Amino acid sequence: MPALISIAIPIYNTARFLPAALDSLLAQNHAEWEGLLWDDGSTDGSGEIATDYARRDPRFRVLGNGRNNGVSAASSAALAEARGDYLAVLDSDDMLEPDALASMLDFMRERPQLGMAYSQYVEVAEDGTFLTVGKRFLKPYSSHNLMVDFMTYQFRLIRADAYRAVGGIDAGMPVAYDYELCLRLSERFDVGYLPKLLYRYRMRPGSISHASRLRQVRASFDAAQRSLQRRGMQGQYALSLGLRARHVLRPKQPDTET
Amino acid sequence: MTTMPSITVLVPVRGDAAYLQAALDSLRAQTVDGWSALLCPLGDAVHVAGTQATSDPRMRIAATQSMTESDALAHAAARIDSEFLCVLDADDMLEPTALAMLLQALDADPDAGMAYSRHVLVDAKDRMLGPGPLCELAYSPQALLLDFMTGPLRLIRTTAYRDAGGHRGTHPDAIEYDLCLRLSETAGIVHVPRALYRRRIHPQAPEVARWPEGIEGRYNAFADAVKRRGLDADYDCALHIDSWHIMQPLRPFGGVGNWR
Repeated sequence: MPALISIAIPIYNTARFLPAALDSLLAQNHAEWEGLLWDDGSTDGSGEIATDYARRDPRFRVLGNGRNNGVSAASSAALAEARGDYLAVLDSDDMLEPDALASMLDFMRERPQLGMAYSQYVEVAEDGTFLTVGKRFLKPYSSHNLMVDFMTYQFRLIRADAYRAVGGIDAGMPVAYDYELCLRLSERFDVGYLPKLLYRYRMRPGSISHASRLRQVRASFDAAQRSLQRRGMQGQYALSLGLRARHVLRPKQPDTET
Repeated sequence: MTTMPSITVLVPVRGDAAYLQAALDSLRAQTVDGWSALLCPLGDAVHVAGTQATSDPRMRIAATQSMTESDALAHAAARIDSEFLCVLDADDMLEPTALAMLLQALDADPDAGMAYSRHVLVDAKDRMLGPGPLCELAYSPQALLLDFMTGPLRLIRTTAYRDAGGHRGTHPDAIEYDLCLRLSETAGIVHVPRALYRRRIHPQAPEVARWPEGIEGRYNAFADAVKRRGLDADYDCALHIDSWHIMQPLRPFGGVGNWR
């Protein structure tokens, strides 16, 4: 019997990109999935787009309480509604390759000891054109290496019982919640790597402020520190944060207006 | 008979000042005389400072109690009459030859207004963490815009300090960088390529507890310096942030020889 995969799609004001994300799910060659569309209080028509997709395909469910609670709370709430044997998160401005679900599912079923698996990804421009192959997965995975590098980037498929056993996404973490979840999973379950490009990550320059980027860096490091302590390694190892904040002077561009 | 140059060491004291004793001991161990210490307690730290300073006539407590480090240092520096001043953070330690070597550097270059050294990082238990970041980069007034290599140990001629405007509270999480940028615009700066200072990294240290604010503060001080220097007509400022985690086996404190 085909396994059901639950995909949480937290949505907040991504009307421009949401149809491409949902179309990439409709194009999957593994048909047993449910799309948990959590509208996190969008004001740009994203909610209407989600409703329209749900009307056309019953595998989509529109969820949400009309308020904006942040992406981690939205992802956590959506996955709490999941009925599938496996779970994943698709950002509402990204896209899956057509064989993403099937490939990951086959990979994990052949390795039942895995609690999570991850793949390779590519980076695309705002308009969807290919930019480059991602780099995070180039670092080899080990449970300890994950405290140093976040290589278990998209696309991730998580066994539902493993997700629940570690307590799921920490909805109180506004940023770095995905890294923090991976750390907790890696402490209790084996993690596998499928070297296949299955996810398109959309680069949106200027979408994150200095303050947000710094919050993300701090939250990731704090998560790694907590993981070191949970593993009882703090007496043998020191985890420190390398940080390079570069001041840049860019020659002004000549005014091109005539 | 030669007159020993006079140095006022300003010691900002925060919170419970758990490492103040070690900081003051490192001052007492200096190979030169002629220094005095002025402890600058912030807020409630006045009692802590008092217990440490009363037994040594070379150590005094600033008369004005301040709530911010920039205010405390500015008030204290305004009242000193020594030829030189430097700041010793109450968490940190000087190597025994620190003041002597910085004095020697300023003696050799009368036009210089400030001398700074390399430093090393230690943890709460004095265990070595590694060389201080950036302090091996070559200094120039232009390079200082991009990287804060001039510190944390600096000996400054009091006249140069005052010409540059001294400590200011414009960027409260970047007061030393802001001061160094202004000094670099009005005075020469020399580098002593020796590790003469141990900076302690612990959870309550400002660079740990408030590092995001420090990055933003330094960026804003940089942007101000770009304007002061008239570079903003031709250049735009930007901030690029890279980060990585480092896991190292802990090892006992083994001296700073490797980084000298």
